[in-house]
Amino acid sequence: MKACLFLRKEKNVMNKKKVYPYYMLYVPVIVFVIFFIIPSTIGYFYAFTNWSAARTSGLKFIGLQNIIEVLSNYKVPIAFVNTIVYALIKTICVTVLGFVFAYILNRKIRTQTALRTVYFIPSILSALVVGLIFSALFQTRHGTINSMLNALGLASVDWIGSRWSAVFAIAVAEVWRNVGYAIVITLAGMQSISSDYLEAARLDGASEWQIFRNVTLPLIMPTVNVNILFSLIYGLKMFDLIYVMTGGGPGSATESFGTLMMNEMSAGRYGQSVAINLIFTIFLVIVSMVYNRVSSRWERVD
Amino acid sequence: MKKRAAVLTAIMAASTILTAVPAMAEGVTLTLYGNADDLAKPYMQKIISMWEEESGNTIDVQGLDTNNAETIALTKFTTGDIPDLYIHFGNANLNNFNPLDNFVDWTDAEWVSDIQDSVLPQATYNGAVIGLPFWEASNSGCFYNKKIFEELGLEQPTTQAEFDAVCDTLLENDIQPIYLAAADGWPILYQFAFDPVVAEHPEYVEQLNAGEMNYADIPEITAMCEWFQSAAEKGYFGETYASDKWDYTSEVLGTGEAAMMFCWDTWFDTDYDSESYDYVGSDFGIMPVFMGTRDQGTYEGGNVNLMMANKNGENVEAAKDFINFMAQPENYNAAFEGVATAAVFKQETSNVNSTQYEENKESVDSLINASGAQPKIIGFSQSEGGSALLQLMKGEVDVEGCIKLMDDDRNATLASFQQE
Repeated sequence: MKACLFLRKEKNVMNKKKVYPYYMLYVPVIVFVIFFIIPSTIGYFYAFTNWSAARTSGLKFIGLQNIIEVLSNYKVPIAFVNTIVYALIKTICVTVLGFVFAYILNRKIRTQTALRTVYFIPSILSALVVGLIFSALFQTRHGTINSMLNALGLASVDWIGSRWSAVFAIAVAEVWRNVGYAIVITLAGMQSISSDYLEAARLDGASEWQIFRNVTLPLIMPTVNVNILFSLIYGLKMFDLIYVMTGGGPGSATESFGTLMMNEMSAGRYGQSVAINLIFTIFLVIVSMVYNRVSSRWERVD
Repeated sequence: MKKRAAVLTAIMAASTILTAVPAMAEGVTLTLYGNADDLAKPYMQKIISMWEEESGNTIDVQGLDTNNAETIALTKFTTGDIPDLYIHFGNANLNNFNPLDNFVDWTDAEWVSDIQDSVLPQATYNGAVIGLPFWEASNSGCFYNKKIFEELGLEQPTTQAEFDAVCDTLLENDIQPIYLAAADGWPILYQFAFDPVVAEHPEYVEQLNAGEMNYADIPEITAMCEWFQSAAEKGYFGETYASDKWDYTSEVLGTGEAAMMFCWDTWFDTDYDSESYDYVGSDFGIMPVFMGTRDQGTYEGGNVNLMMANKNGENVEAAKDFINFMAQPENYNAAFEGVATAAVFKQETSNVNSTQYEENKESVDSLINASGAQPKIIGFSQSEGGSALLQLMKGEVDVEGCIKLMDDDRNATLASFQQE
């Protein structure tokens, strides 16, 4: 009986310890709810009203009219496809390059710190600066890349003049801007792996490839997942670079959901702009949930 | 202790008075929002400094990024951040700013009778004069390199067929006929083609704005689209028009790479870079625009910016004083001294006509149409229409599809005004 009481007491103590960290959540959750969830939710209400620049008061509920109009807009499918393409290119390239460079930098080379700084520099530049740099690179007239092609005796390419080459140019700029961030996160993950695992594997006679595949990779999967998730979400939300480099053009060829929202705002059609945002948010939530479900399987280490 | 407190109080009171007195003497600071490029015009800066000097007040000029000026201004207005003064073209998009609720009504002002009759409608909104048209009144048309035309023995065309033949001859001589900065959308300037249609059929505007008609119902709009499509296919705009930007206009015209462009005459005085290239501004002449809607071509008259005062602002009296100051003949004549523009005011005498206009005055005067489409058609968008035409030129949509894109965008804006 005494033993039983002791166990029950121990259990209570353990529960308290487990519950304690949840107190730490209260403040951030309250801040998040007050400053993000509530304003966003109230904001989405406007997707169901006749809110426009010409009508800022006396708004009326118009049901799904804005959503229907937005879904019938020819730019939405273009933006949808482009958004997915931007996100996929960014996610794959940033994750792979981030991993490769982090692996190289983790090899105790002399210039590790300097190289880490160099690779990270693009991440601190604003999208405007990066956009202007890559606009100069990909310009048809006087662009650096076309000058190099011409020097090699090749014809100029009208990079920004057609859909997929313009999407490619934007994606390259976005990858360049973000790969440094992925390197730093992945490198931190690699450096947190205990050397005991690696030494044990070597003692067992594992090759470098086997160590990488069976030790390093599984142990840093949670870190890689963070990279993938961030790249995916921010890739889907791409706006600034597109706006600076092409403005969504030529025509509507490089539009994303972000530029569509901006266009509707510019035209004073606020209700439709919010409707696009609502559709996009639902899409983002679905993608995030699916990814979280899938990625949790990758993190299991046997 | 009491003595020390009294001394401290006296020092604080004195410092308060000393800091407050200069502030009172500095006068009022008015906030002015507008497109940064528009506010940088020399005559605009001159009139502001003249008023500041005379009144002792100041104007905090906040130039909004040229490409996003309207969006930024709209956001500010919607969130209640309305400046004391606002400058905007007197077009249908002004609807978004609720002019009658936000701006001073000048209908009874003395200076209204001094505004040229051709300009006054642009300053009028629902029967009320809502701003002072203080701007350069330009003549828009097709500008051509006179030297290249002379070398190739080309004459100014007088019909659409002759214009197309000129383009063909230029192409045969490896010269790009027209520089079209289509990447920016707005420089396609397709409103030039609309103006004669609107002038000949004023009922179209009423029907379009009432939602009773579409562009698809207007045969001239179809003709315009067909011309753009055919011109792009023939190579009149070169190969890279989809990525060509307005920034390169001086270079492309100045080097003779292209022989023509759609533009306005005052641009050659205010923006064209005559110093860096082979051809100077006076090497270019003006001729009618041929875009498929009017066989003998057309020119477009001035589209003017309005200076408006926030009628609900704290500094409304000072803002009104500034606009009344701008409207004084001696002041606007000083500001527009030597500026190439048609006269906006009846007593405007210090301006000069552009070289291009002087050289081809007869043609301009006989074929000019007031800027009609942009100020009058609700939802008319230079950039969205330009985007649709670009898709047509690139073969992404056909003529019918292009007109539908233009109609859909216009109708969406129209609906945002009409929803009850």
